[in-house]
Amino acid sequence: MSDLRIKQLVVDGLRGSPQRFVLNLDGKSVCVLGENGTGKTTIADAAELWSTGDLSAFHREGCAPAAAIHLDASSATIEITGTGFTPRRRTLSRHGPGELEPRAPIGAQPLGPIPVLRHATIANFMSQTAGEKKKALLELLGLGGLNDLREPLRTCANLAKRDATAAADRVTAEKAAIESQLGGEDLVTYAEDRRIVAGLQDPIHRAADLLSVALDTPVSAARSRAPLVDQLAAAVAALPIGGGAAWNAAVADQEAVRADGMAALLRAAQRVLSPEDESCPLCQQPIMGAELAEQLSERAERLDQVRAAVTEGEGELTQLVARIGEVMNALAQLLADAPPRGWPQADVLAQAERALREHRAAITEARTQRTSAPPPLRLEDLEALLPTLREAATAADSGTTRTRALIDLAELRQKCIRLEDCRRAAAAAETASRAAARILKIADEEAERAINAALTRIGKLTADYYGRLVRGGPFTDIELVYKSARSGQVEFSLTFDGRHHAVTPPQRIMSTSQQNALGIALHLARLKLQPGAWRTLVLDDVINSFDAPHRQGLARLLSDEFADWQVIALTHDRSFKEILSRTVKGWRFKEIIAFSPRGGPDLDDADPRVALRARMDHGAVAMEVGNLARRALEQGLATPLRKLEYEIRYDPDQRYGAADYLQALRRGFKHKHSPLKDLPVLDRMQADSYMATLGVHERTDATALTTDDLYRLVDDLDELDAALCCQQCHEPVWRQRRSASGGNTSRCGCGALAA
Amino acid sequence: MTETAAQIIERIFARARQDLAAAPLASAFANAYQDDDWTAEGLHCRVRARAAQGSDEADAER
Repeated sequence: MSDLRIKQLVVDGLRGSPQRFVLNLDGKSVCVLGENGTGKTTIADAAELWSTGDLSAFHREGCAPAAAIHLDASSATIEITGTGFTPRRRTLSRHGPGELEPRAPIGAQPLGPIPVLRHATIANFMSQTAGEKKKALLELLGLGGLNDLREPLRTCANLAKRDATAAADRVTAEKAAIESQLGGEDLVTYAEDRRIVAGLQDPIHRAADLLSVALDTPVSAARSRAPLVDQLAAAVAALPIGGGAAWNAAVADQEAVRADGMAALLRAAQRVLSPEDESCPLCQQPIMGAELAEQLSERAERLDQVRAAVTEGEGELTQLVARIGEVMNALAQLLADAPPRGWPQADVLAQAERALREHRAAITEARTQRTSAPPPLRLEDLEALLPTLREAATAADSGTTRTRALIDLAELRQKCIRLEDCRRAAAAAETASRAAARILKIADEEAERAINAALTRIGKLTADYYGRLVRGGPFTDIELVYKSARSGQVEFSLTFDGRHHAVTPPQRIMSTSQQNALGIALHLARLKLQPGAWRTLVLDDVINSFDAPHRQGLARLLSDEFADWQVIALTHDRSFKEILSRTVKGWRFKEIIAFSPRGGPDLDDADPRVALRARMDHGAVAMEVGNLARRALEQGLATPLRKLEYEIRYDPDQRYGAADYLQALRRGFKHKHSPLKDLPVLDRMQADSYMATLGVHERTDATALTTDDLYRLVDDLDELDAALCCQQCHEPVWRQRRSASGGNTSRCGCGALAA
Repeated sequence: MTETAAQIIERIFARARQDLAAAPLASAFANAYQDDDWTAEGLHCRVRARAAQGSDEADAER
């Protein structure tokens, strides 16, 4: 499906067209002239929305296409009929654009977007950065897929590189962990030493041997020695708390108490035996010196024995404390050897140590409270426990040493295995990273080659078109240059005034108008090189910044290069329309002669009088339809004037108003001695207020008009038309035939006597 | 005749398959493009999967 053209465009409820608006084209090129705000862009928007389901200008501004529905309408419809496709209609509701519905059951193939060039589009493109231009140009050239290709690829390559770096870091970390464990020792030596301590059989001659050492069984065996530690803990737990029994027993000895009493007696006896005291100080009886001396001696000996027992008890206590300290030190060393992780007996050992510390504290307390109640601790019980404790501690200590060696070996082997895993992962990640980077490079190379090829072609044609748009300009050697920097950039390069170096970007030396001309040349070149299915091109006010030579250049380019295209040129500029009318062939020229907010645009291809009456019948107020009324009045008077070939005063600008036409018509009737010169309607028209308002060719100020004025205007024109027709066949009088006999009598084509 | 983006992309993957350094990922990326999974996350996922596969292959060799 190609060479699609538009025959008819019907818009209803969209933007500036609240009511049904029909643009008949019959596949021909057309220039639609209209003042600003009279619905020209609505035509361009309708074409874009119909063919794409979107409005890029709205899209850019963040508005949904539904915002293009006229304020007074609930939905908008656009229907296009044409050549090369079945008529289709798209409805735009508040929920968004619907599907393109074919008006016939066949031919629902996609049509592609109708090319629409707008002044804003061109200006925006030219003001873009080189990176943005690259993206936009690739989209224009149908290479937009390359834009979408690179960014994820580049990000992925970066992520893959990051993965590879992280994997390499893990290798380094594992190496460092191994070196930390080795403590500067050679791996094989370290492993062999521990192998010997652990009592393993197979020697380790090289690093690889470490990986094959069977460690599971020895480690299990080491763990089976844990009951020894349990035994130790049980022994400690059995220690009765509240020590110092021997010492306390000695202190509490009744003999010792007596000995103290006897010491007092001794001291008394010594005083009695003295020459100065001859009686017992207690009973006041005479003292028998020898007997008393013997008793005193016996008591003194016994006192010495008690004192020795106390001293012995104190020694035993000190010895007990020393032994307990010994056991505690052994346990502390055992614990300091860092039992393997997860060995529950470590907690038991710690518990045992705590119990011993409590025991020692209790002894110390007992020593302080010498006279406290006799504690249950017996020295022999404690002594019986000590060998058990010592044996358990020794056994546990020995087991831990072997286990420590086994654990060291196991940890070292685990680290070596992890290092190997990390090395493999790092190598794989590095390979993947290199592959991703390489694919990115290949993609960049291929994209650059393709883009350069496309840019060369379009650049050449752009330069050609620009040269024809702006003949004799100072800019030559125009090229589109691609740079692969960042994500790729495209910019124009050109030489100025015959100099030998290229200048870029063009903003440095080109005016805005010249840049826009370059932008139009580029977009037209693109359409020419990659035309797509449509042979229709909509130009919406693209000549805004153009001077007369530029406009002439564009008209010439359209005539030369787009003669086989259907161009829909929308412009507010009458001079451009005039230029086009002189330059292009086969075009139609239409003018939006009136516009009202509630009625939308009116084209000059409809009878303005009919349109005016229809608008008024639909409730339009005079203010809204002033321009339409002026056109109706001018056409109603100018048509008979032209048909009757009456003369009108000369105006070099050809700016005639209804008053001029009416005056010329009356003068013509008078000059021809026509009985129509006395038509009452001519007098009424000349005197009516609508002629005062609408009779001159300036923009209409319809504020003074009323609906009655305009109905009267239409009625007057109808009456004039009727008066200018044959009374029998109702054909216009300009078909009359002068009678062969001469004079003023004429006959109508039907044979009736004409006026 | 102007080459389309799809043709260029196809050529990129074809070249990648033949390139010694790019080959390990070329098919994975081509599949990602066909699966319309052409996002950085999707591609990275495939890179990781490919790296893990490479690691497994090394294990098998070992």
